[in-house]
Amino acid sequence: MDFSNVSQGAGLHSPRARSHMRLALSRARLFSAILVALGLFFFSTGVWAQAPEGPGELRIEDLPDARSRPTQPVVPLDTIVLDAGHGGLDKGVRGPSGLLEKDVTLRLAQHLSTLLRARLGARVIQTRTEDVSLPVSERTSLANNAKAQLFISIHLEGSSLRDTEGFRLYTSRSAPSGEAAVGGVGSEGTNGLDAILWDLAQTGFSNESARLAELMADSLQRGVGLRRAGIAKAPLFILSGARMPAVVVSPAHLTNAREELLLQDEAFLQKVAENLYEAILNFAEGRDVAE
Amino acid sequence: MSPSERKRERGSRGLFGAFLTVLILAIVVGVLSVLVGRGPRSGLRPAGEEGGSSGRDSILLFFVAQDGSGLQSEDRGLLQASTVRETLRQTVQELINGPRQALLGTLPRGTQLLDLFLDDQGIVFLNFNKAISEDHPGGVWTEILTVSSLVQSLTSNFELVRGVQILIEGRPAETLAGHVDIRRPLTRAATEMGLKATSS
Repeated sequence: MDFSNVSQGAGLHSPRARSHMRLALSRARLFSAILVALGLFFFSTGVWAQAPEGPGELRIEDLPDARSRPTQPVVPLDTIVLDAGHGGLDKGVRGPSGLLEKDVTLRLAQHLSTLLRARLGARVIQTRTEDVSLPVSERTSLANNAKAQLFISIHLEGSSLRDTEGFRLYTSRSAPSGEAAVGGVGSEGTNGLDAILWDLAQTGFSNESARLAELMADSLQRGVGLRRAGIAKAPLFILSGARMPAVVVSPAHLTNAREELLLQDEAFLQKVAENLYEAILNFAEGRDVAE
Repeated sequence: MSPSERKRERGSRGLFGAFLTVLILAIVVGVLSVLVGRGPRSGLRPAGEEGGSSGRDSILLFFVAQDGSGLQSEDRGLLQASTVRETLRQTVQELINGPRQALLGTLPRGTQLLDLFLDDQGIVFLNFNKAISEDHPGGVWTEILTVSSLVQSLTSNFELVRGVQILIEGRPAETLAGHVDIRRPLTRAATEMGLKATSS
């Protein structure tokens, strides 16, 4: 291409060319002025800050809750076993006005069972649906035989200190290899070996069980406003033989008169169940508690 | 034989006799100590006369802190017992009797220690009456504190105690009140969750 004419500027100095340039300049000024005016308008009204962007341009602060992002593997929950603690002759803790732990745990298990069936579509097996005695080992075996992906045992706390309140959560404390060698009356022969194998069943699920316990604690604290009395790893018989993530949840102290009153209220139990359901859902979807 | 030779012979005989007497005495004492150390139960032996204490002049008993959040230790003077077995028994009895400071007891009223023995592996078998289970107020944490107070009080003070096996009326049990696994001996580490974080 030959630029010689352009470099000499013969065409640019013609009256027609100058007129075109002036027109173009005035259009550019007008366009700039409109842009500036629009910018000022959006800035002053705050529309700019709130304007939704395209679907692929969501910012972190636009997410409903940063803590809800999945950080753990998704756990499919087809079958869940709910255990209402105690039952029958085993009444559990008795409240100041006579409310029994075995009755509250059954009602709470029923509330939670309804939610899990309706919203999660899971197969929910309850270890008991009425006031009957059931050995602890049978409850865990039921969960193992059903090949459940989750085992939740519901209990309540009791204390000689009447003002002690709040919820507690437990996961199994797996015995280190050295401890398994400590003998005892049940340590010889097949029964002893069975007992050790039973104890080791929960070992592979300790991290998932601990995550579920944290999610439940977070949910009960934020959603129900209960005091977090603690989360502990303990040598609990009901958890040791479970071959799936397993927790014991004790939502309140039945020996505390104020909490006993709450536990008599179906609306309160429904609220506790809703928050436990929320924690289970977060667990299934691989979410963690925010740090 | 000259008088001086007779004198030397008498001296050497005297020395030999004294040595023989000391040797016989040592053998008798040794045999007696072995016999005394043997227990009345087959397969189990009570604690010996020495080697069990921690070397402290006091023991620590674990009771519930006033806020109920865990166990705190209470210092007690050395118990007046001649054997380790008796010291262990007195330690459990002191737990049954309850705290002297502003702490709370861990064992139900009516609890009695029926028997106690220590096996060759360092396991203390505590045989209680039914009250420890039937009169237990229940609650997961309360049961943890009951079991933990027994295990911590025995394993913290006596080096030879590796674990504690709870029996009820002579039989092993699954739990006291439906929660803590007591089918097998529990170690100090297995029950440390019951300790209050600021425990002395």
